Parts: sequence; structure tokens; C-alpha cells
Amino acid sequence: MSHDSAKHRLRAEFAEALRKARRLRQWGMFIDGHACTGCRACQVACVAENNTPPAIAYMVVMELEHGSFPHTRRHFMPKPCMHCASPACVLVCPVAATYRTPDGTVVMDYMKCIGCRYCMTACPYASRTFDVGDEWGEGCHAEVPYDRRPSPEYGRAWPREHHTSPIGNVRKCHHCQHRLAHGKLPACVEACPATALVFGDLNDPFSLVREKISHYGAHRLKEELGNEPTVYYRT
Amino acid sequence: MSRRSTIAPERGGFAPAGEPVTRREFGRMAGLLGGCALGSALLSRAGLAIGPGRPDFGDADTIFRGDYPLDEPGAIVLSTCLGCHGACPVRISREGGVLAKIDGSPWSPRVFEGPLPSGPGEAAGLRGALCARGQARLQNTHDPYRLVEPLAREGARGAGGWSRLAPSQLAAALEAAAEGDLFVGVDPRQQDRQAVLAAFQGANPRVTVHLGTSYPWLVEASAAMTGEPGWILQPRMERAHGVLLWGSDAVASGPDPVGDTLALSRLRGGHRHGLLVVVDPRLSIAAGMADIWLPVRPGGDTALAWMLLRAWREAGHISETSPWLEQALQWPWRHLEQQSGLGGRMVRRAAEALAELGSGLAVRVGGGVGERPGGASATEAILRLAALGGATAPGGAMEPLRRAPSTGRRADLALHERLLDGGAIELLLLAGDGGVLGSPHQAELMAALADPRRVRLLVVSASTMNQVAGLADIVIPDTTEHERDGLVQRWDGSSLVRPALPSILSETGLPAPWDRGLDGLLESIAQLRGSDLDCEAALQQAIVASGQADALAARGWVPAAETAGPPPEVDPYRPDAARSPAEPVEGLAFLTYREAFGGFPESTAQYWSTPSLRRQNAAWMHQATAEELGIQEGETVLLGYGELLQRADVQLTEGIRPGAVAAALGYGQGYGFDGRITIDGAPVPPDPRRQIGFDAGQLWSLGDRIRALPGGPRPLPSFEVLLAPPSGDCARI
Repeated sequence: MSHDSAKHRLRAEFAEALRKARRLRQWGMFIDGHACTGCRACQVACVAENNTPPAIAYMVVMELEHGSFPHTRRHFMPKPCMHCASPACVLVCPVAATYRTPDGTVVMDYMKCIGCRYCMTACPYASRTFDVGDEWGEGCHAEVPYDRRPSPEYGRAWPREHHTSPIGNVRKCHHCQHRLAHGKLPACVEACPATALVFGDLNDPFSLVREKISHYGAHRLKEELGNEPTVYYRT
Repeated sequence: MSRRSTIAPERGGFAPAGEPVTRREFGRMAGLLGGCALGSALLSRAGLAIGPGRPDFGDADTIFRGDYPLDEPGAIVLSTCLGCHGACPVRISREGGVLAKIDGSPWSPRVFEGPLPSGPGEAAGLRGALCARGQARLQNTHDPYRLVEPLAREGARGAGGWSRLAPSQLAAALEAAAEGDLFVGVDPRQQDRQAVLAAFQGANPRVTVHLGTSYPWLVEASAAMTGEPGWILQPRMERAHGVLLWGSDAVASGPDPVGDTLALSRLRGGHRHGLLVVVDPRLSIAAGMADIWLPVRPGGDTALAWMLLRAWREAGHISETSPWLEQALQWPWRHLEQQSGLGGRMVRRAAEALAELGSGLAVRVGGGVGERPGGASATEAILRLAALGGATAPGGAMEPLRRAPSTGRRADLALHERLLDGGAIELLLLAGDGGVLGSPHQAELMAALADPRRVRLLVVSASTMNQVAGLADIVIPDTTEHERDGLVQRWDGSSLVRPALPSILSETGLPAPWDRGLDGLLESIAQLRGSDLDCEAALQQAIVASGQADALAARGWVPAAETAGPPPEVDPYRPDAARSPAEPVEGLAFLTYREAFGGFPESTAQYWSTPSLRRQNAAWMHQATAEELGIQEGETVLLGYGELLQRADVQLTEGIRPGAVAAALGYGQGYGFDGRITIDGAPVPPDPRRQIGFDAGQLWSLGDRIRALPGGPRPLPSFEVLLAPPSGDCARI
């Protein structure tokens, strides 16, 4: 791997963006469907980083199958939260538990969430999941240590105990806010061996994420709904 | 009917709904609302907001900052992943002294992009890429079904009855066998054990250590081609203009999963567009995005290689002659078509595309080809195809790679041959599965191990109960690679990593002396045999012998050493005798489904991307196959062999060759012990997560061993979400 690699550039630009005032940067992601090999390293990195329970991963690799045998094609589409500029989920929340930060990340306030799941219904990308309190070691004869490990989301150690947030709350991708605050890229971006995930400041016209979007004529999912997603795809 | 509410308007109440509002009531309501608004605004200004409100983002950075214990320099251990033969350098994070996360090591250019860190402090904040399986190795360390104490067999071998064994009882059992010859077989992925075992063998004259061999089919095929046992033919992806992936996915099967993923993605989606041809009966990850997908009939790999060669010869792309080539070319085209299951037009088109690549053709042969009977000869045919195409020319995309001396022998064959030939072994110690589960002769080897007349005392050292451990007389709990302070040398000798920080053995809570796993056991056996073994010293000696001691000591990973140790011994290469063209599978072929986490035994305990997020316990088949079997999508079928029968839900797909059925490999009972276990008479509840999966090593053809269970089709659990991409297709998780 050469030192002028894409991920190295990504890290440098990311550090530059963090030096800006929060309102002057807008985080966005470019996902290269041609580069993605479907290895699911991003998905596992998300689960490991955020210590999510079964059936919850903020980054899920979706599969698309076209054609009929033997002229069949298969594509992979990593799908995080779209972090929309006009998020439908935020509008419907009755207690304002979900909101958009000045730098363009849609986050959750677990202390306010009442678990009504309106936001799950409103989200056109199915990017939100409800934490019902499942555990990986369910039914095993011994406890699994990472079931007890507190989730580090939003810079807090959320204990994994029943009747305690985030159990009973809606959970979603938050761009690994706890990592961003420490100057680190989201876990999925760092883990991707193919550098298919490009994260950066959309306000920087010379950033790699902007370069990729313009070079490949990237599109966004369900643009017609007007949610203005900040995740761009090359398919 | 009263028109008054509970509180009458004249007493401060309001008119019931539907009644006209009086002027007085309107004024009262307006005043109330205005007062509320004013009060709320005043309270908000005073910082006493009531109800939902937007947070003040002025200090948002501090809101989210908190602690991030995963990046504390003292919580980082540098080690090596042994999830597959690739042995990627990893960075382990501990939280509260417990293994919490595994990432790629920032010290290694193999997994880290960018300038390497200048010191441990900087390294603590950086992390490299790592495949899904490597990251999920954390689950193996924290497996709730880990062995934590030595067990002695009760009843027949493999019956699942165990009793707890005190260390003194174990010592007595080993002492009784201490006078005889001891054979040791080692899982080829336990590369960090090689230095210790070499020292163990050197110190004990009646000990024979058999190190397992990674990719034995590739070693044999390369040796047959080059005549040099110390070399193997490997693709250099960075030089390739096109890649031919034969039999499996690069991520799942190659010795460099991270590097191959990057190379493949750059080839397909990066700055240069290259040709990707994939040979696989099912639409694997790579096959799905290939330019040409050749859905070969299972077992027809050699025939397809010969078809490609013949197409090249007829088109004038090759003019060489050799006995091997002439033998390959004499087969009738129609016969080859039947064997490979592919039409001539499709194969000729692929042959033309591959011929244009010339020396830029890189070929990777996966385990799906090599692990079958006759896999070595099929691999040889594929490698010869690459060589004849010019890939091995100077500067070409394939080049011979010298393997590390310590792994340059096929010593596992010596052990396996002894077992297969019927020779008796007094005392056999196997680390992991001893290379048995990856052998093409797995069934015969398992039968030999189950026979007490062939192996008098079988001791298995393993972290969890696997099939081989289930046959043992004594089972010793072992550590995972993330718990031991080891030395790892890649199979090609290109990488050497040793953890820098203190051992994390104590995390397991294993009682002494089992906290050191196999190392502690070897030292005990050496002591019983009158010799002295110091595993730590053996590691230090190996580091010095590797010539990298200074570099490691400069980073503070190892103390500076003074003397060089002797080079490890190299056994003569012993190729497998049988070499015959593979025959295609008759009847309904059974294929493995090895995605996400690949097809290695440890996948049995890795769940992070499988059952809860996508269906993995499905029997994938084509519509035509289902119609032939009279099965509909959604029906539950019973698949199996012998006494091992598995339920799976039928999932139809266009991404598999008709006549083949694919199911999860090793996910569940396939590699774990599949019987009931009792310890001191008390049954151990089975792992509820391991209820599906197959070991394809024992099953190539389903034949009629598939039938639908009563109940008829039912809707499959689905995570389907309409995302409306430009194609308008339905995305499916």
C-alpha cells in the first residue's frame, strides 16, 4: 500500500475538516459500489465498535441480484443512515429525541427517546432499528462478555441493562460521534479493506469525497422524496 | 340533555365541543395561550426549558467527547490474527483488562495505508483495515462454550461423556506414556507455535512434531510444476491486468485477504479497469461482479482448464509442447464439455479474453477446488494454464514464492500417512484439529483417531470442543492467539510480529497451569521426559534467528538479544502419491456457502454478520433444481449424511448452477462437536446458536439425501427493503 493512498488522503482531509468550526463542515459519504467486494468488514466493524446487540448494525451490506442464470450479476451496497439534510425522522419525533447536528449528522438522544418508533416508520431507508434488549449469548450456558460491555455511543458508557437506555430506544448510525470527537474516522471507513467508503467534508470542494462524487456522477437513494441524503453512491 | 360541561363557563370552564364559543371564552383561551408562551420563553432563557427542546450546540464537541478507552496506549496489544493462513498483523484493544476490539495493525503496510506510526503513542490512535473474520475473532476468545478445564473421556470415543481431570491426574496419565514415542500434530494456522514446538522436539529425542501445511494442494501442485518443494506459485495482484479467480472468493480463500480485497477492488472500481473472470458453480461475491462467470460443474475444474488450453492451442495462442500438455489436449471436446458442464462458446469467449492478458494474468485457486479429492491435480492444471499463458514470465503476474523454511515441509503428511497406513501410535498430541479437518482424507483420519488400537492415547489441546477433540481421551483447554504472547511468521516468511505489551492470558480466567494452554502442557511433558523446555526462551531464540530482532527491539517489542539460535530443521518434501484428474460429482452436488466469514472452522463461533442480519441457514438452489426435486421456496428440507441431518429453508436463486445445492459451511455443528456432552454426568446444554451448518469435507454429493419436511412452504423471514436504486430492483439484506 502506497503512502499517497486514498485512505491516507482521507485521514489528512478529515483532520483538516475537524479544525473548522462545526457549522462550516458538512459530513458526507461516498460509497463506491464498484470497489465494494461484499466482505462485510464495515458491518462487523460497526457492531464491534458500537457494541450493538443482535439484529442491529448501523452499517448493513445489502445485496442485489440481477438477471437469470447464467447471466446473473450481483452487487453489494453498504447502507448506513443517509443522514439526510431534511430528515423525515426528525420531523415526526414527538419528543425531539432525534435531531441533526450542525455538521450534518442525524443523532439520537437516548434520554429523551420514548421508543414510539415513529421515526422508524418515517425513514424511507429503513436505517433505524429498535433495541428490544436481545443478547448474543441468549440461551448459552455461560455469559458472553461483550453482551455486558457498555456501548460507547455519544461519548457515554451506556450500560447494557434492561429498562436502561439504549434498550427500549431506537438506534441508528451516528457517524461514530465518539470517534469523531477524538479525531478518528468512523469505524466502518477505517475497516474497509477496499476503501470503498469515503467519508469527508462535503463543504470542501477539494476533498476526496467531493472529487469522487463529481468524477463518478454519483447518485443518492430515493432523491425524489426530497430528504436530501448526504450519502452518495456509485453503482 | 345538559349543555354544561363539568366546569361551567361561568365558573371558569369551557363550552363542550361543538358548542359556539362565546366572546368571553375566546378571550380567556387567548390569554391562557399567550401566558403559556411567554412563560415558556422566559423559562427557556433562564435555562429551565420544560419538555423537548433542541440542545445547545455551542459545546457539542464536549457533549460527545467522553472517554475512549479503546485508544489508551496501555490498552493496546499488537499481535497477529490466526483466523486464516494469512496471519494479518492486528491491533488488539482492551477495555478494563478485557479483550474488546480487534483492528488491523498500524505498524504493518499489509493492512495500514499511510506512513507507519513513529511511536507507540501515535500507533495507539491509528488502526488498519481488517476483514470481517479477523475482527470477529473476538467472539472466539469470548465463546461461552470455551474449554476451561482438562477433561478425561468416559465411555467410548466420541460418545461425549467427560469427567473433570485434576492436574495431578493428567500428569500421572502423561507420565505413564512418557517413556514411549510422542507424536505431535499441529493445526497449520497455529504458526506462532512453530518455534516452541521445534525447541520441544529438539530437546526430546522421542518426540516427533508434525507441523501442518497451509494450502497443501497449492504446495503439491507448485512442486509438481516447478520441481522445487520450497516454492509455490502465487499471484502478484498489483501487477495484474486481469484476475482469474478459480473456485472461491479472494477474500475467503487467499492467504492475504486484506491485500486481495484491495487489489480486486482497485482492479474493478479503481483507477484501472481490469478483467475479472470467476470460475465457481455458485454466484459467489466475486462471481457476481465478474466480467465473465463460468459456472463450472462441481468437480469439473480440470476439464475446464483443459478446455481453455485447447481453445488457446486452436487459436494459436500457445505453441509449446510437453507430455503433460499433449495428454491434456487429447481429450475429446465433447467429453470435456460434459465434464465441465459448460458450453464451448462460453469457454472460447473466456479463453480469448484471458489470452489477451498475457503475462498480466493472475490466477488464484481457492480451497473449494483444492480440498476436494484430486484437488492437487486440478490445481496443477490451473497453474499450468497460467504458466502457459505467460503469467510466470519475468515481470508477470504470477511468480514463484519461497516459503519459510519452518513451513517448507509436508510433515503433516507423515503423520497422516502413518494414521492411514494402519500404524499404531502410542501417544498422540494434537493442537487444534491437527490439520485433520482440512485434509482431503478427513473421513479416514477421523476413523483412525476413533480407533483405540490405532491411537492408544489421544490428547487434544483446543480452545473449544471440535470434532477431533470429541474423539480424544484427554482434552486440554488451550488459548486463542490473542491470549498468548507469541511469535508469528507468515508462511512465506515475509512478516514477523510479536506482541509488545504484557500478556492478556489472565482474561480467560483459566486456572493455572491451563492459563498458558499448550505451552504449559509442553513444558510439563518435557519435564516428565527429563528435559527442560522454556517456551519463552524458545521464542526469543527464534526472533534472533529470524534476523529481525534489532528492528523489534528498537520498537521495544522484544528485549535486545545477544546470540543467534540454530536455523530450524527442514524435512524433505513428501508429495502425496495419488494424482488423478478429478471427476465431476454425480447426482445433486453439495456446495458450501462461504461468505462473509469464509470457510474456516472458527467461523462456527462468529455471528456478527450472519444469523440476525441475513439468512444463513438456507439451502440455496436454482428454480430448475427445486422443480426437479418437487420442492418449493420456503419449504423446510432435511439435508444430510450419516446421522448428521440438518434442517434448512429452501431459498431459490438465479446465482447457482442447476443441479447443485449450497448451504452454510461449518456454521454450527459442522466443525463443532455435534453430539451431546456430559461432564461428570451432568449434561452440558447445547449451544443454541449452532443448529445449522455442514462440513463439506465429508459431503460432495447429496444424491437423494434431501427431502422436504411436512408443513409445506411458508414465507421466509425477510428483511427486504425497497430502496429503489436506479435499476428499480429490490435490494435484499
